[in-house]
Amino acid sequence: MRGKAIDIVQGTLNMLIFQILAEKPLHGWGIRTRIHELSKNALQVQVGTLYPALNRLKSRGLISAHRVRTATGRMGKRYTLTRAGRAQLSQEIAHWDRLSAAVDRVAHGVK
Amino acid sequence: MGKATDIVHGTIELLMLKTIGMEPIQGWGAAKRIHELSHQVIRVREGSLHPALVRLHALGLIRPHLVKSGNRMKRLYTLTNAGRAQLRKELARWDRLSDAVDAIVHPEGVKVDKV
Repeated sequence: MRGKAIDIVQGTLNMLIFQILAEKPLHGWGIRTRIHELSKNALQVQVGTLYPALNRLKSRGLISAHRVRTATGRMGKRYTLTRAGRAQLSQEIAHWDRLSAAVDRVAHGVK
Repeated sequence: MGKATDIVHGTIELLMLKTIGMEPIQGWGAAKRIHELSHQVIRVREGSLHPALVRLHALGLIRPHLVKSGNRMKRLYTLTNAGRAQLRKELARWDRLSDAVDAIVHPEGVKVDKV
């Protein structure tokens, strides 16, 4: 890994949460770990950013939460992507692709 | 093509530094060039442009020059040495961020041609 991990901003974080939950339902810590793994530690999510984001997405009906007992015997929440969340994911990926390509065009003169 | 996207926070500095680094330019000219180079996808609003210029100037990254144009003065911005160094850092950061996000949302490595 080069440099220190970058904190992800809100809009991008939502998209990454959807993408990771589209693979399989996970706990909050599992989502964080997966983002670190998949980005080869280039991205990090602060706990103080993740949980408010999960609560917001839940209240918008884009993810749902189920209480389950974790491997260590404690009660925790496992999050699942809803149908609405799945639709939102494709929209957000399209938006990201368009915006990141546009930034690349300005930043690198890519045609 | 959808409507122009308001730029993500933080990225505006990168794009302003890049554009000002190309040639001395007025603030609104930099915004216009970003809009053009991005194929009209990115719009820097007046309300973001001015604060960004003030911030970059306060950080010593850009320098204004007053130039006579007809009977009016116009304010052209150039990059300082610190601005050039910051531009390189922000380009590297953007590439790292966008590659990492792409690796997550396009795990198959196949990306539909970005338009």
